[in-house]
Formats: sequence, structure tokens, C-alpha cells
Amino acid sequence: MTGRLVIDYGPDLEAEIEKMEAAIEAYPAIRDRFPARWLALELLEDGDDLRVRLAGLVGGERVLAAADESQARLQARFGDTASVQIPNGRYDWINALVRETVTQSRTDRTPVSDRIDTVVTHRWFGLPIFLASMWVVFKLTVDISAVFLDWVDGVMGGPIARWMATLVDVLGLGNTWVKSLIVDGVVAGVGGILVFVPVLMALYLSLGLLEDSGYMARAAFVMDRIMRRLGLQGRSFLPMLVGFGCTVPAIYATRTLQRRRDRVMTGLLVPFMSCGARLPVYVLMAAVFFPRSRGTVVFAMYLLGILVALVLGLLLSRTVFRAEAPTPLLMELPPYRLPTLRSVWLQMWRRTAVFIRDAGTIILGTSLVVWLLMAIPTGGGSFSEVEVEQSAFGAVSSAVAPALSPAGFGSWEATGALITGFVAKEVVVSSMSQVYGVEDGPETVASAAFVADVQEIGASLFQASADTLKAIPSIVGIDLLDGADQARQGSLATAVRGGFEESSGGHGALAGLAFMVFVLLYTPCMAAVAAERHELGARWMWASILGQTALAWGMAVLVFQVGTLMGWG
Amino acid sequence: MLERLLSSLREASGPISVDDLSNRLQVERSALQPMLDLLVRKGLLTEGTDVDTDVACCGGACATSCTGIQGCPFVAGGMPRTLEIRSNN
Repeated sequence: MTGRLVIDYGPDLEAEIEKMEAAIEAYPAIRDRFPARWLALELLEDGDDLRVRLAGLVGGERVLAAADESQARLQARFGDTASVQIPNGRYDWINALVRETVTQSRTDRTPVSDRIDTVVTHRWFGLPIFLASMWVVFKLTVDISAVFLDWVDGVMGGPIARWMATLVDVLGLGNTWVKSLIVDGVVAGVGGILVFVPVLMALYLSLGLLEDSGYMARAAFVMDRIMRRLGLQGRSFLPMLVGFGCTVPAIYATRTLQRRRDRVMTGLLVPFMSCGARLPVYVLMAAVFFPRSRGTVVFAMYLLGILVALVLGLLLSRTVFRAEAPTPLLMELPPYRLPTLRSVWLQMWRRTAVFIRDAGTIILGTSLVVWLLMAIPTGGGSFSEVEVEQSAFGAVSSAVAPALSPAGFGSWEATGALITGFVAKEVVVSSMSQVYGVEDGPETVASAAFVADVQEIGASLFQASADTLKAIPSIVGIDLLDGADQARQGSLATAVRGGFEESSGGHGALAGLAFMVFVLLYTPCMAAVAAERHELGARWMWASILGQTALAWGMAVLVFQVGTLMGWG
Repeated sequence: MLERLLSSLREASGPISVDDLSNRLQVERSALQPMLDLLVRKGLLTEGTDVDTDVACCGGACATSCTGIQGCPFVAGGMPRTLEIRSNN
């Protein structure tokens, strides 16, 4: 090919280019420095640096004025896409050239990634595959990690509690309130929640595997269709996926949404995604009341959260937030790959570290406040030597408890745990450890030698590892642990079961289920409330707090009352 | 070509992957990428990762802090890059 290459940009653009060329040719200072057509194209395409250079040349102002006039006419003709008309013409030309000159050899083999995608992102199969994947995740998380959970529980409640008590005795504080503070406050509170670290590690490991393999991106793709039906942008599901880890960054992630309507609506729905902090509550309650199907029960809670968000989203988009046509979403799906051990491990560790860090800050602080409230007598007795029910904590909890009676868990213990849960959901379990397990201190345990304790920890770790392997077939219903679950349930589980049976008139399992529903639906934590205020404003923050609490109460009552009427539990 | 790309996106009834779009437009994925980048630069498409990062993990409500959204361990690492037509709202 010889001669100058000239792309035809179509009559509208060519007319403007011609006018620009005429303006440029009129000024030698410009004409001699730049090819006229090239300069015209650059100016029409927003050549900012050229504008600066032209401004200093004779006639530059006139040429720039001509460019502005041309752009205004193109804007009127092409609207929003005026700024891409020139590259559009260029790409059209390239595309035509490629079609004429390039012959593509047909390959019969579709890439593996594409073949997998035709199934996992299928319009009908995509959602069931996503749900099945999540079910396996929760079976793995809850059933397999339960063995290690028991091991940590044994270590916390046994050797560690004994060492702490011994240390306090050695310091000469054995007969003071300090011992109660350490044992009933710190060990029971913080230790009670650290027990669940293996569960969170298992969850984050499973999710990390899904993310690293590229599957989670497909899950977002599948859920996009459902989001659109709610009148939400597909991108709304991304904050919701983040919400499975922690609600706070999920609320901040709503910033990725363009329209305020979508940001507010998604911000209101995100708290219904079960964050990692709620998992210990589910695991505890499921182990107490549904030991044979705890993995499925925990999965059902996560699913219920999604369902509530979907139904509420549908209602909101039909009422408060009238649906506008959602903008279509283009996703760049990464290719599938084998997860790397290093990446998955790092991700799991970073997420679990946040939980452990919280145990040392917010949970420790709340545990100490709970202990203080439990140590302050409201009737008789002296500081730290008072029945919990007669303490300030018991008095406040007892005052609120009747409101929760219709849901079957109107005891002061359960109510107190839920009140502290407003601070953070991890605190629910640590408070339960304090209020239910408060009489189960290490004083009742025979002291053991330090070396014997260490040996016990090592032996039980080995046993836990062996039991973990045995627990793997339980995913497909094969129980090699031979029903050891019941035997493994500790004093907290027994106390919780007794308390719920009593408050529900013998429908403990139903009350336990209603309690889980309440925990799922009410305000996640104070940090989430702060994030809502920051991102959505005070009005929506209050709407969220009140709405979630009312919904949590209503759903918990519904579960318990309907269940009782139907004779379940 | 860019107009066809935008039309395909506007007319999509659901989410669309870059590979789907590449098939619809009969353009190699590698050729599509610079077109998408150009549309983002021109402000016709927005990218899902355009998030301010200077937020505290707990919104200042707890005694902890973090590196913000992009460094947050809970913001899933395997999330796809998402693009959508810029809304005027």
C-alpha cells in the first residue's frame, strides 16, 4: 500500500474535520508545525496538551474556538458518545481491515474455562450450583472444625483457666475480686469466643479456595441476575459477598454503586448477610440443639439472611425506592486456576487475625464491662460476690426479657447476651460463657501439674487431628465419630440447653432456632451502625437499627409461635 | 465498533462477561480490552473498583483500624473487575 492513509470518519465528522482544517490552514504558525488533519482529529478528541501548546501560537485562540464549536455540534449530534466518535471510526476501520485480511483458523476445542462457565454460570443451573457450593462450605466449616473447636474449648476451660487461677493465687489475690475478674471476666469472656477460631479458620479457608479458584467471581455473575430482578444493580452483590466476612467494609463497599438509591438500598440489605462474627453463635446453638445436622442448620441461617435481603429488597424497590432500570453490568471473569496454598493461607490468616484482634480489644472490653455489671449488686450482697441474677446485669436483662418471651428465649441470660450483642456479635457467645458458665470456674477442677497439662494439650491435639480426618466423611452422611457429639458437649452447652428449655416451656430447640434468627436479623454491631451513619446518613442509620430490630423480633416470634403451633421442637 | 460495544451492553438483559461480549462483537478479547479501557477513560463506563480507600475498618467505633477497602481482608480477593455504563444520576 502506498500513499497517505486516510480513514473516513463519516459525513458528520468529516464535515467538522474539514472546517477545522480550514481554520488551521489559515495560520502559518500552526500549519507549519502540525499536519492539519492530524491536528483537527486530535483537537476534536480532546487533545489537552495540544491546546496548551496552541494557545501560545498566533491564531491558536481562533483554532481552539473553532474546535470548541465543532465539539459542541458533535455533542448535539451524538450526545454522550460524541467524545468517542473518532476512536470509534478508527476501531471500525481496523475491524474492517482485520476482517478483510485475517483468516482465523477454527479451533474445535473450546477452552476448559469456557466449558466450565457454560455450566456454572448457566441461567438455570448457576444458582443451584452456587447454593450447593455454599452448603459444602458450611458442612466443611461446621462439621470438620467442630473437633478442633472442642480441643480449643478443652484447653481454654482446662489448662489455661487453671494456669490463670494459679497465677492469681501465686500473686496473693486468690481471695479477692481480681480472681473473679480474671476467671469469670477475661477467661470466660475472651476464652469463650476464641474457642471459635477453628470454625472461622475453616470458613475463611473454604471461601479462600473458592475465591482463589475463580469461582466466587462466577457466583457474583450468577447473583447479578437476581439483583437486577430486585431493581438493584448487579454490582450490589459484591458488597453483599463482602458482608459474609464483615458488615463494616461491606457497607463501605456500597460506594462502588453509582446511584444513591442503590447505595442506600444495598447498605440497608448488607447487614442481613451473616458476617463471621455471627458464626460462633450459630455454631454454638446448632451444636446444642441440632447436633446431627448442625452444618445444614448453619447453612440455612446464611441462606435465610440472603432470602430476607432479597424479599426486603423486592419490597423496598416497589415502595420506598421505586425501581429505575438497572444499568447492565459487564464482568471480566478471571480464568479458573488451581488455588495456591500460600495465597489461601494468607487470606485465611488475615481474616482470622481480625477476629483474634477484636478478641483482644472490643470483646475483652465488653467482657470486662459485663463482668463489672455482673459484680455490682442491686439487692443484697457485696461487690463481685453476688448472684448474677441479682446483679446490675441481671436487673437490666430481666427488665428487657419479657419482650422476648413470645420468641421463647425470654430469660435474663439470653436477653443479656443479646443486649451485649449490639456492641459486636462475637460478644453474644462470650457473654453467654460468662452468664451461663459463671459457676463453672476452675476452682472446681483439681489442680494439675504444668507438665501434665502440656502433655494433655499435646495428646488432645493429636486426637483432634485424628478425629478431624474421621469427620470428613460426615459431609456425605457417614459418621465415623460414632455419635461422639453428645459426649463432647460441654457445660456451656448443657447450661444453654437447660436455660432455653426452661424459658420456652420445653420447646428448647425452637427457642434456639428463634434465637439464631434474631441474631441473624438484628443490628450487627456498633461499628456497622457507625459505617451506616457515615455512608447513608443518620436518618437511614436509625431506620436500619429500628427496622432490623423489629424484623428480628417479628421473625423470631413467628418461628417460635408457628413452630409451637405445628408441634415442632 | 465502540458504539456497537455500548449498544450490546445497553441491550443486555442480564450480566455479560467480557468473553460473551467478545463473541457477540466477533472481536478478540485482547482487542476488546483497550476499547473498554478507552471507554472508562472517556467516562462512558465506570469501574467497580473506584472506591475511596481512606476509611477505618470499624468506622472509628472500635479501637482498631485498617488500611481501608482495598487492603481489607474481607473484601474478597477473587472479585471480578466490573464495568457498567455511567448513569447520570
